[in-house]
Amino acid sequence: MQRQAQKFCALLKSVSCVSLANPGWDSTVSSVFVTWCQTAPSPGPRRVLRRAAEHHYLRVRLELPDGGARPNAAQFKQLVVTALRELHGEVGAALPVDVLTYEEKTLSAILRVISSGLVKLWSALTLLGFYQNRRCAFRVLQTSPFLLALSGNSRELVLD
Amino acid sequence: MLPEVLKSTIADIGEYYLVRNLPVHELVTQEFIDAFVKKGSCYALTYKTKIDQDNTAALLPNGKLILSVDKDTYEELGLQGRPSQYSGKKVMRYIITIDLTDAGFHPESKKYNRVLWALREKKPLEFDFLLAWYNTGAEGSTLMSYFSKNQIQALKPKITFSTLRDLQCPVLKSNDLQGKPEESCSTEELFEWLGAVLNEVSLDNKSSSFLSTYCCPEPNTVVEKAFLCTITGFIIPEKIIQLLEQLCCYFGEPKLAYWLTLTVHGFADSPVSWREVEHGFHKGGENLYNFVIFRNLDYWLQMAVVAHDDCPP
Amino acid sequence: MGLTPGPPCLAGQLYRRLPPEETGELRLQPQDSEKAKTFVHAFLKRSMPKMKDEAIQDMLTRKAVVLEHYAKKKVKQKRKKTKGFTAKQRRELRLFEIEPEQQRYAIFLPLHELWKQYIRDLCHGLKPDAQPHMIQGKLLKADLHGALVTVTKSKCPSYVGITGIILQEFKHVFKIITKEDKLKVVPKLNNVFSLELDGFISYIYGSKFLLRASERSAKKFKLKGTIDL
Repeated sequence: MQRQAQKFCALLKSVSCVSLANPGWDSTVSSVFVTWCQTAPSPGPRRVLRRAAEHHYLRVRLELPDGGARPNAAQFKQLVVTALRELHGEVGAALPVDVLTYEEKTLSAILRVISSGLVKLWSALTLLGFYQNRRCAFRVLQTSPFLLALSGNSRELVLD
Repeated sequence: MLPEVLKSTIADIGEYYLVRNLPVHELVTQEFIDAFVKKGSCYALTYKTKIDQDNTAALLPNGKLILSVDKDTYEELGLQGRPSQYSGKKVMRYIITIDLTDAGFHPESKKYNRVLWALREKKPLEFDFLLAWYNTGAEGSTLMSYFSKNQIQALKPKITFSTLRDLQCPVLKSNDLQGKPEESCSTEELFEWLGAVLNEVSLDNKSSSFLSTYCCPEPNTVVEKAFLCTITGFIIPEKIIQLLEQLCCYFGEPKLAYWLTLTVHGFADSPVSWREVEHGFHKGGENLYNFVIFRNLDYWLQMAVVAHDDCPP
Repeated sequence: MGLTPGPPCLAGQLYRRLPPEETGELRLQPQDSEKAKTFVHAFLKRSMPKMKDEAIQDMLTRKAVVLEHYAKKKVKQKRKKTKGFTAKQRRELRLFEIEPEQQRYAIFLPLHELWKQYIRDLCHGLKPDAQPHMIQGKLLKADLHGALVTVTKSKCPSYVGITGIILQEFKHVFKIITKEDKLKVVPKLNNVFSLELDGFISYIYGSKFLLRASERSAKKFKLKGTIDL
């Protein structure tokens, strides 16, 4: 985890770039993905993708009262689908959601959803209140258009 | 399997300091500027402050102190700033930039006294600071001794090593960013795959699987052993450049690996992301970049930011 | 009071000596015409002190005098228009401007002492256990000329920190003299002022204070939960 790369730009001085997106900027852009390529002798191309993220990723944690059965991965997925069905009906339940990781011990998971369905999934998770007639709550810990970003969250950096 | 030189570079990634309850005016005093800011690259960032709700400060190696403060603090502070570009119609956040290395910033100048007065008397701001200092010349006084009267502790970055066995790796071609079916994978696919590896996502799902339909991008090869090293802490760019150079040297002698990558995550709550580009927090504050270095020393640089951030350079 | 009318040609006759037979009859001392003239003048003068000599003469030479009583017409005294200056003249004359040589902090220190005394009197001595809202209420209506204020919050950062004595209060601005003998014109809008007196610190939200000093004393301020600049 590093604050900023002030100088790494100096490394790239020799790279000529081709920006594929138009230079105007708009605040609704949800993600930017820039790729540079440097091949030894020839100038490298530059690709800028805006709002290109196909998927969004959410790191969530399920909170359950102590004791009682904990859901396994399949039940967890079923719970997410139930939440979607409750709020958005059958159409919502059909939203493809992937449970990329699930840890039964901590009840935390990483979900993947198509970017256009992020709001639906998020709202459904937030409004879910019961699991098997027990109170429960989903906490969305982090959300990002890049899966890589979920592996390092500076807000969770604890130093002591 | 890891060369010794690389290991020692990782071990020598440098320490950083955490100073508790440090008043910001300590960072603008002449003694501090002369001892550290002008004699090397001095980095500081507030710790456990959230850019979307708290006051935040950062000291850049070019000697600029950036304060990102909310409206009420700004009105009380009495230092000129500019509205944050992500705060909408009703400005709720202001960015104040103070150039500490400016020629007009010396103890006799009006500006210096105004800044000191504002930060010391008018609105004393206090933060927990992460500090790091890098200088090439002779060692002067150290941060540790300078802030000895404050609560300071030296910290080492946390380093974890792990070896991944029988890993499915996407096939990459250094001169083909977009990838071609059956030939190589695109940069976006690689980026997602990297995230999957780091988050320990299973890569061999069927597309019909109930739980997850994610699978390794095609085409891929199975690598017997892959080495993964994670360094967590307040790491300064100089050390990252060193590390990058060492990684390039890794290909100096013939190796089996086709490519390697280096990913750097920026702090989500830093007031700047790249250079002095303002950074904000919308749904997330990620600003990260990733180098992919190929065997022939071609490299890709991937930079990713989300909303409330400007396009990287 | 009336006079026997007589034709003007008989003016000479008016003061004519009475014939002796008549004086004898009335048992009056006869007087010569000169004496009679002065007597009439003196008599009229005495009985009508308000009238001027010429008016009396005029009356005497009149052909006729109406003897009927008539209601005295009330003479409406025309209100004298206060002859002030127009705004333009005031500007040109620089009536409300303080001359540069007078812009010295030390000159106004006595004014500040006076103001402190005034506030203490107003707040019944300003005891430390006084109710803050009582003081607030008094200060709200008090005259602020001579108060020592500081700009604590402002939308414009360069106003923050100005400290000085209020010399003049206008509808939209305060004129403040600082310790450095500088006269500052600080707008009330978007500024918060603080004034400290005997340990009591009051904040003035300038945006709600956009009134002349005289108008403010009559204004009813409403309580509001929170105030933003």
